[in-house]
Amino acid sequence: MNELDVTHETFYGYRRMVEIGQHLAHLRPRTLERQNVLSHVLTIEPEPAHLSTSTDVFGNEQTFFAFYSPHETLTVTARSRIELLGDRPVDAAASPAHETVHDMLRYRADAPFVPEAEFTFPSPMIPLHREIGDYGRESFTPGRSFAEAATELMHRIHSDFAYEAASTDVSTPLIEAFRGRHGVCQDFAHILVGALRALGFSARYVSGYLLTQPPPGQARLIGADASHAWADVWCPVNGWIGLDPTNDCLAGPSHIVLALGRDYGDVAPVRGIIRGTSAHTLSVGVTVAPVGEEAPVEN
Amino acid sequence: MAHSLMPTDKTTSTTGKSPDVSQILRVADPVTAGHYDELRQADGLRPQWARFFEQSGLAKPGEFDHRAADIAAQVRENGITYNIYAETGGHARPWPLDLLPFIIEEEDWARIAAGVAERAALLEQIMGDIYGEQTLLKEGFLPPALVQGHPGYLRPLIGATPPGGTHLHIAAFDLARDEQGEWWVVSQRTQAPSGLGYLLENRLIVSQLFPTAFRNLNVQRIASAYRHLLDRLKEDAPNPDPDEPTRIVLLTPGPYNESYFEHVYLAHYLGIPLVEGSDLSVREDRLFLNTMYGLEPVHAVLRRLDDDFCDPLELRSGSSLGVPGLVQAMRAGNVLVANALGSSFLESTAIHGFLPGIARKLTGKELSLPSLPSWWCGERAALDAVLPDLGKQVIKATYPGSAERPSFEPVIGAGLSEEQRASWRERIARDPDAYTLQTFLPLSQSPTWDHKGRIVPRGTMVRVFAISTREGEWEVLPGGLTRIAAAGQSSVSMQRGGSSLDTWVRTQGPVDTFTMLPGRIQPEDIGRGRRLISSRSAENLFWMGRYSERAENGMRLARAAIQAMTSADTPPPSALASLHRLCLTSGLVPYGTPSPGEARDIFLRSLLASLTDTNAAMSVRFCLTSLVRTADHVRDRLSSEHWRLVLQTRDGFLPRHTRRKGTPLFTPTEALASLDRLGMELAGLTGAQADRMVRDDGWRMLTIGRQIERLSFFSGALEAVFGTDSQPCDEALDFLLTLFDSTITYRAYHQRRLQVPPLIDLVVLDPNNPRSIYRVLKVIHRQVEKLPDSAAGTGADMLASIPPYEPTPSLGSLCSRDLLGGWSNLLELTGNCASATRMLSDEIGLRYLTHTQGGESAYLS
Repeated sequence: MNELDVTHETFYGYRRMVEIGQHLAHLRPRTLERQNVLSHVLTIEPEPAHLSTSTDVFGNEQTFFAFYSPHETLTVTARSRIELLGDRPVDAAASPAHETVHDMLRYRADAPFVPEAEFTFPSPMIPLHREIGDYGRESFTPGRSFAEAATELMHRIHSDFAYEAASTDVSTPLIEAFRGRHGVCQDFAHILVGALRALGFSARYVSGYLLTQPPPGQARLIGADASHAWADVWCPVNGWIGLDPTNDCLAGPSHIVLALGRDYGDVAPVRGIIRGTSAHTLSVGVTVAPVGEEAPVEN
Repeated sequence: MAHSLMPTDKTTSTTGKSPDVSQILRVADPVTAGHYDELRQADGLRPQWARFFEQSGLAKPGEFDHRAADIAAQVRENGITYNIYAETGGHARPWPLDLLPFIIEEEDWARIAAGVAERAALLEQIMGDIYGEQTLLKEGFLPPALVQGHPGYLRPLIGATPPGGTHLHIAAFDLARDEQGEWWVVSQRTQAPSGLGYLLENRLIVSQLFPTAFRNLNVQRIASAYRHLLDRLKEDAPNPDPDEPTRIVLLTPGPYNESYFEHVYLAHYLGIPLVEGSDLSVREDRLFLNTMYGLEPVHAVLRRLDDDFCDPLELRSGSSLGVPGLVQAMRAGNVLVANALGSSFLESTAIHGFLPGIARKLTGKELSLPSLPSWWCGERAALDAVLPDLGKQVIKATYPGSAERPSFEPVIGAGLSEEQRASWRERIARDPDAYTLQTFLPLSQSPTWDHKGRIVPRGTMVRVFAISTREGEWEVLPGGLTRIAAAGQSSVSMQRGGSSLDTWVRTQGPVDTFTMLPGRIQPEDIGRGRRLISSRSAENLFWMGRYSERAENGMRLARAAIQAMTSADTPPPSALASLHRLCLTSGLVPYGTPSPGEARDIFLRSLLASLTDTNAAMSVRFCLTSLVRTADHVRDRLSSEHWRLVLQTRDGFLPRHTRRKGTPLFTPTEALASLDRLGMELAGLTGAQADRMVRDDGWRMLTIGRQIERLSFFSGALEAVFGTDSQPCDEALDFLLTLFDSTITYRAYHQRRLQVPPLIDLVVLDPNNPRSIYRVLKVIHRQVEKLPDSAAGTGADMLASIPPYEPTPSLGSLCSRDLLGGWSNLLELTGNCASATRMLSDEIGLRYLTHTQGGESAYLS
């Protein structure tokens, strides 16, 4: 049995009182073939004046909450227990030639509708850039299996791009990260998705968590991890295949899916609008630990 | 020269004989080959035009020019403007309107109206399907690229049914006719179509110029359509409380939008408040208007804000124009937003190619009014069929204005060289989804007056409006906004020098005489009596009052100072010291400017330069610019004369010439002349404020703003004179009287030389002098008392810290001197007044102006 506890804490400190705050969170992990949510508790401090929960068009749970009276801090903590059920193995050999996949996703008046085609289009944070498409095209040699080509593209991104913490933030345009050949996991995911879409394939953004192993002999640090991101690419035979270009691997038993969307903007863990001040600090801490592991050490 | 129209026959229809209109043909230029001629048929004028010219009175010499001048004057007087985005400074231009109407015959109109209503219904069905079952996608009637791949497909609204069931309360269609006179749909607008206000103005102006022709051509009236729109919004608006009136607002992006005038005008005409995003807030999934009295529910929003700006929380972070949470309120069914969000994918030219198929599927019929043939290049078969024919097409962006895809202005294939075409073909092949080809249509040409004696043809496109009257039913407004191309242009664009025409739809039947103008008063309007003042309006009115008064005081002080600097007799040093002090505290010269007693030329130069300095926060020019800005936000409360007067104060103040850098724009003589003129204009403005505005709480804010500013300036002036010299000289006293604008009164009362006690009596105590300190205090008390209660306390609470206006101190005590000979009693009073103005300004801000606008805001991600 493979069960994990995830604690995801987001803290905002405001320099002056915030009079009104309206927020939107995507913090409940998805229930999928590969994972079960055994429990999930969302704690918000201070207590919101209004809170509502619904499901968005991609199947993610979204929580709206609002404050109408002055407050100086905001802490949002999500605690989830996840059961990982294992991924279906990817059968790269069975994956059709990429040309076939491409044609399936293209509109023709008489062709059957493919729902996954929704993820072939540019999106606000992943605009269409031919330059990124051209980079991707090198992996798609004629007749090559789609899964194999996409996986090779992931390898290339992993080796061509430098992972540099804090080299970009959520407002850095994709093309800048692409040209600079660096970024954080969100950029790696966006670049992979953007390259595949520019070539006419279907790819989506996955927001999630990664179980990391503490150095041997040391206990796990609370909040030491960050939230993670990778890409899902669609193959008519294998379905959605999770590719993690940051770690150069398929999404596997260490990956927990939080939310799925076209890009980060669809699934930002916490976003919001505040009135009263603009100056704020933000800190995010994520802890992922196997259930039953000894009490972790305070960071 | 110009007037080649000189008929000898001046008989009018009263004699039963028509004027000879055949000469119109002689002054009318021929249309370009290949275009439909709106004016002529083979054997002369088309009948409607012959009729028009017979009835229009235009056959008289010079009449064309007279009436064209009337139009220009009307446009100016009514303040009808259009903002050109590309223009720096964003100044509004007069709305271009041509003399001659565009006339549509009844049988043409019947076809148009039926075709347009049918299309509006079809678009509504598409909206219902796309935000619901999506069978059109699943069955291949619409490519996902044009829906899910369109930035205007708004996922947060999927599954949300608008209150009343209708997504599109207004749909606009741009129509044009081909060489044979057949009508085609060129484009459709569903988000927030513009034109309903401008077309109304066009109608009011042009119909008045040709009353006889308008009547005798039996032109159908348009007012009912607006009434029906309003009725429909009221009906669909989810108002849970039957005791509360249903509140509808018009949401504008604000004065920087290209068609802001129209928003102001429509709000006026429909009788609904004009609001900006910051006026509204969402609490617990309900929409409210932030008012001076607190939050008031809003049930329907007629919006002129584009979709993606409407809710920065869910749609487009970074936009400050919208209302965070609006989409939640919509999903909850608590507010009607018309049009519903998410229809902009229907505006893509690419959609037109798929409409015939969708119409057949959904209605089993062909569209009676076809679209111009359009091919979305993302469909391989279409692309192969038309790409070789680029010369007959217009290349349009499938996703115009999108940041996610290639986007560009339409390109006419015929105008491209073979090389250019080849390069376009390459571009298209690289990313076919982003391109759509539409058959190029040579526009029909309408007669227009060229102001030089000729009638010239111009390419014409008509925007018509379908308005939802009941679920599933659309009424087509019998008229429209006709736009004509600039000379030599083959497409129509108001942004690029086009103009507009009034659109006359003829009818055989009776004309509909309904009018909105006197405003149908609803019982609840009378019952309530009190018009809601949004916090933002209150704030702008308050500052409008302050800036009007500040400009006036600055004007008077600057004039007195320049006169003193340039008079042959140098005033005594103590008078100069007072002047210096007051100019510094009033911001007419920067701090650090030497006294005129020490350096007269430097002082004068600095004074002149500051007058027109846009950066100095209190310069006369800055006050005038700020006055315009604040007034612009409350234009729905100002008459057009009032608004023009406001603009005139700013625009008339600056000299027309420029000068070398570093030299003041004004010479002393020029400055005096300009200040004099400004003085008169400000007097007119004061009149408009006092006499032309409804005395509600908004007006009260303006008045309080004015009086606070006045009290602050007067206290400063008294302090500058009596705090500088215990024995003020005549010149200083005279100066004081000027600043209090009380010279004439003083002379009338006391025809002798200046003395302190009668002067203090007049400018401090006199209850009949509107410019005495105690009179100002009284006005402030009276108006503040009447302010409504707010969560932070009542208006009356604020009065405790303002000096009472009665009993007034005795003149003797005010004039008594302390041991050192100083005017301590008087100066204590002015000190108290000055601090009271600061306190009151803050308190008012806290109580009435800042329900939600804590100033700064931020997006968290």
